[in-house]
Amino acid sequence: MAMPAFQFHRPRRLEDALALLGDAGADGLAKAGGTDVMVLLKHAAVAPRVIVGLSALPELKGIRLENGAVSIGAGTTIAELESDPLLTRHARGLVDAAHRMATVQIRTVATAGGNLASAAACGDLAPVLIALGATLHLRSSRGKRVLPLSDFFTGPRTTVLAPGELITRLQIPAAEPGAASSYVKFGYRGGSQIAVVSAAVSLVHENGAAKRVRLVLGAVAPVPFSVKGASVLVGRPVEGPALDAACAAAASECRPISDIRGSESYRRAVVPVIARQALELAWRRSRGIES
Amino acid sequence: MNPNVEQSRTTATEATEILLRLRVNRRDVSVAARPNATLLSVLRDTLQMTGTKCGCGEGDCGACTVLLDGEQVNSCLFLAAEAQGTEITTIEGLSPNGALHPVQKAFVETGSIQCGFCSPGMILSAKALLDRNPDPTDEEIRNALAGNLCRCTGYVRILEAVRRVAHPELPRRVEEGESDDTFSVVGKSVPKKDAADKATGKATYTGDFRLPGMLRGKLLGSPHPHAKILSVDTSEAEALPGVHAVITAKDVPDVPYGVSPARYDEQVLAGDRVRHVGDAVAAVAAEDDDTAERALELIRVEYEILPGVFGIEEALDPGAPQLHDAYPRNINTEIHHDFGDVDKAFAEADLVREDVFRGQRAMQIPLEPHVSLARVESDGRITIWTANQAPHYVQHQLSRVLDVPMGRIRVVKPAMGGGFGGKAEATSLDFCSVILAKKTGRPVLMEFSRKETFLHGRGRHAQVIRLKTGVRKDGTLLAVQADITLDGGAYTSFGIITSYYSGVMLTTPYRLPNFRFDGKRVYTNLPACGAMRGNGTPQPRFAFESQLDLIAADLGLDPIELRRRNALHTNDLTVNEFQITSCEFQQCLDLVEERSGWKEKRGKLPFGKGIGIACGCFISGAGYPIYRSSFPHSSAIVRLSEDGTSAMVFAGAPDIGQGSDTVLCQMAAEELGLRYEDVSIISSDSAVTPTDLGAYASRITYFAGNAVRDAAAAARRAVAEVVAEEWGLPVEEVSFRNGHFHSPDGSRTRSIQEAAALAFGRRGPVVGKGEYSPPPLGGKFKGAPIGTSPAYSFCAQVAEVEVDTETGTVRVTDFYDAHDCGTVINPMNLHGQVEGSLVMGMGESLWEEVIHKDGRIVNPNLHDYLIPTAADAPRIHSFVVKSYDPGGPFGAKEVGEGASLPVMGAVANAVANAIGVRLTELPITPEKVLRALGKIPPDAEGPGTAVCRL
Repeated sequence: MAMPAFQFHRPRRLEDALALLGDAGADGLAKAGGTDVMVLLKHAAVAPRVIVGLSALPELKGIRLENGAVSIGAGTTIAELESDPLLTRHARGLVDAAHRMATVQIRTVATAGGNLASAAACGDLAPVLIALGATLHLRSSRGKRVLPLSDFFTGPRTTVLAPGELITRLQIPAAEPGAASSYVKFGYRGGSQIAVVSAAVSLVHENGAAKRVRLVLGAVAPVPFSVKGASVLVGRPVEGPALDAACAAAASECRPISDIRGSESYRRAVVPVIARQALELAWRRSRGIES
Repeated sequence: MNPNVEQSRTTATEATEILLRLRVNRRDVSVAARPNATLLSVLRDTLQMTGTKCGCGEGDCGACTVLLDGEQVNSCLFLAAEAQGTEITTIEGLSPNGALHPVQKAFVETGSIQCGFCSPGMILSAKALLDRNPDPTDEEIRNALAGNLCRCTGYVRILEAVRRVAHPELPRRVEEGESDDTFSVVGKSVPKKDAADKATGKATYTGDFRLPGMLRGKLLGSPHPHAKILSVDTSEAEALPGVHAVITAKDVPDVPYGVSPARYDEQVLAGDRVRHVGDAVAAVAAEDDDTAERALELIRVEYEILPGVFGIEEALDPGAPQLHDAYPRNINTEIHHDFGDVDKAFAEADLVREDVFRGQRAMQIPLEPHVSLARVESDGRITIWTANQAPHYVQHQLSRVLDVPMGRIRVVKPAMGGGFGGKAEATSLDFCSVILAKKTGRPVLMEFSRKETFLHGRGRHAQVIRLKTGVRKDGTLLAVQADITLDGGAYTSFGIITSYYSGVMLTTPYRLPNFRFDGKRVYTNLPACGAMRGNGTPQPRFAFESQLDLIAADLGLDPIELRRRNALHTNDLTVNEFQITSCEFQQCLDLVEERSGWKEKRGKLPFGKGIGIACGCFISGAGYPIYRSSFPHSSAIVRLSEDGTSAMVFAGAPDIGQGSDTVLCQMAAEELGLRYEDVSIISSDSAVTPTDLGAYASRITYFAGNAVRDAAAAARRAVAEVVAEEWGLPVEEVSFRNGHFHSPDGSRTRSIQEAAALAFGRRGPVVGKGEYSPPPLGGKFKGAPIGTSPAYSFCAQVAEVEVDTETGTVRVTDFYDAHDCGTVINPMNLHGQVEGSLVMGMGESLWEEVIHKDGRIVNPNLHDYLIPTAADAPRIHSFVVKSYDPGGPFGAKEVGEGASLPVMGAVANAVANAIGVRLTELPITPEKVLRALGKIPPDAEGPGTAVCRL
């Protein structure tokens, strides 16, 4: 498969990257790990004149705890997410999601920011990051802005990113006592699978009840979304009729499409199963039953 | 210029090359490359390090895996420019001094390498894992290797190889069926002849050749499923710098070709009409792939779009668009067989069942896509290197179409990355590479992308199978009436043969006195279907084995008992006149029943867990060639070296990864009394190897084995004559055992080595030749040749499954296979074939399906067309029963396809056992299972699910 021609730049400073992207405007493309972009390029689904490689930018690296939040460089690879001790403590569900994504080869190269920017409806990181209340730090040559990840996606493969704008960091609140998260992905194969349905949960356990619960579904709507009906669990243990009601809400709120991986009605049938698994896993974790 | 930005030296033109400084295998190299060059293309094309392979170009298969700073990366998705500053390790870097790395050694010794195309990437992934985790768990190994697809091995041995590196103290596995000391080389699990070369990246596949002046060729495929070609304008493409030639239908002979002579319906390039998306219209030869692809975009083809037909019912509809004028109603072939008195038998039967089953369109997915390389020699002779299972048929078709005598066409099959039936015929790549090479005077290499392999097709036909079966109360089979319709796609390919096979093999492995078969193959505007592993038979087996379980339930019989009561036996003649020369099928049933714990499990497993059986029988080579010919089916030459220390086998038989080179060497070594290490082979180079019909119909062990054995025996006789002459004895008095000639009184002996050197000194080259053709076989009726074989293999398989009844997911936990394949020549290779068949069959049972909409394939890639990964591989228990075929070399029969026949039936029967509902359509996807369980409202849109309530 042929690659289209393009100019390639690999700046070493963020401001150079932003300047290059700013100059290129709509003809420019930022490339992080490139595991998605390279396939799009080969299929001529994108045809930029200029590609700016982000792999040499130190500003996009590193996972650190600062000001009560975990700050993740957008250039952090999925493999780095998978093995990070800070994330294991504060965002276990993100570690789950990283571990279940694609293949080791892809995870070695693909990045957190790239995965979000590619905005596939079946993307693995977005549901759990939304559940964890992540915010994104965006930069361009014109300035910077911060927005919640839940406002980032506008549809399959589309986001609010303006031409020349980059995700630089992701931030998630540090886990409070009793907090736990989970990500359950349902696909067909044992390895290297695309999510047919995915569910992410972030909750806080207090005195035998869920103080806060967020259930986010992936691959069953144009963009990942929070299940409103999951609020039925607030103030209750994650079990019994309340759990049933939350799962039923997941099924009724999802808006899946039919594609080669399954029909709308099939996905709707599987959503409550996967939602329940994610809720139960997070609930067990919040009580220290399962690490 | 900003020193903090690495960029092209000038950015004025995008194609300007940049200088890259890379560190590859601990050496610094500087290369000039375009900014868009992938690391894979720099390694393979610029640095000519071709151990790293390309199987998909989209990061799905992992064949291009290299290590960057020790971590696994898909080099097809990595820009070379970004690899600067990293330590790149390729397969060539693993054994710098020639000594195998422990991972490579383990792969060779455990039989983890078949076609070897995935091996470099797989080995590097294993190395990366073991470097960061010297004692990984089973799950960690599977996770680390899940990004490296393998289609040959079923992963069983690969997982074992990694475990063995972590635990060198583990004792060597004793393979089931390791022979006693009847033979010294035959029956031993020797490593494959080519395993070390494949483990190190040294093996040269067709796409690895880098000849001086070599151009890259590409085909332009039709974007429409059905259209008239009004005009083709190539002028812009020809004007593109770097383009050397563009050809269309007017530049190629107007000689149709194909597989069956009665149905030559393909054109090298379409002239007036295209019949499926991807149908080749033009071809280009250019300096490089990128230029060739750009040139394709500049070819202007004016089409008049025609309505198309995309399914069996549609195609048969009166008034449907017609694909080929000569075949009204789009009926490519019709078959009517009627043996015994089927109607009388149904009237006398205690139970008659009628059921309908459907099998899906599937693809072979060898990791290596099709590839051809052609060169025209100075004297006009043609040399073509081609990744083809049947190089002889390529030679035959090139000769026919190009009107060049076969003797002036040299066809070479280099190392080959699998076939499974998808590479068994000449393709437009073969013809166009030769025609472009003639036109340009330069060698031309043409490869399919993964997507193009889907558009070329030749996978498994979709089938609708109606079975009516009558039995007595005791389970005795009285009659089967089979009505099978196949969706053939746009051309015939192997389809006539496939259509016959779909029905005629139903008279095995059970005794069946009355049989009627009505078959029909239909043209549709989809890529042509061909001869995928088992060639037409696995889906009807799924159907019949499913129906047998339904019958067993109706009669209250145990499924294994029902099968045992009907088993074929040695010396049976089937009602359609297949002569069964050896059959230990009952032993297979007994063994698999015992080893699987059938009696303890069947009927006693909890809801959601199930166990099922299915069986099969397959030919050890076809009784007749594909086109009428007086040639032997297989032939071989064996030559002893001048000093007598080694022998070389020359055989046309193509090793496509299945290991035929190895078993042929074992047979020659056995016959010559030499060690395995002292026998080498050159196979599939028509300049030096005599003809063999090819690697299809599971024929090589039996056919080429007989030819090689005879050739070796002839070489030995030539030596014996010289020994007899020296000893003054008649040659028949000179005996041979343990590598030595002996005089009758035992007073004189000479080793084969000494004797061969003596023979060369006295008489010149020590050569023996052998050939094999089966005796005339089969009946006199139309289609009688199909299904005939000098010997048949038999097997019984049990699958155990776990069904997640909430999501519908089926997981196969265990397969048990008991095989009657005659004498086992190489147990390690044999089990490797079985394991690969089972896992391939598991993929077809559960997920694999070519999905098309309006004539366009929706999933022509390896992330939407799902084949099993290392994370999916079940436990496999492969057994052989004691068996001997009187006509087979050393008593051997086939295994390579036979093991693939029962898998879908075994899985389907296990699923039915697990959930109490039977699915009658393949693949058994989670969605279909959930629908069968009634967990999706029956009126909800989505695929229908045909089920039988149990």
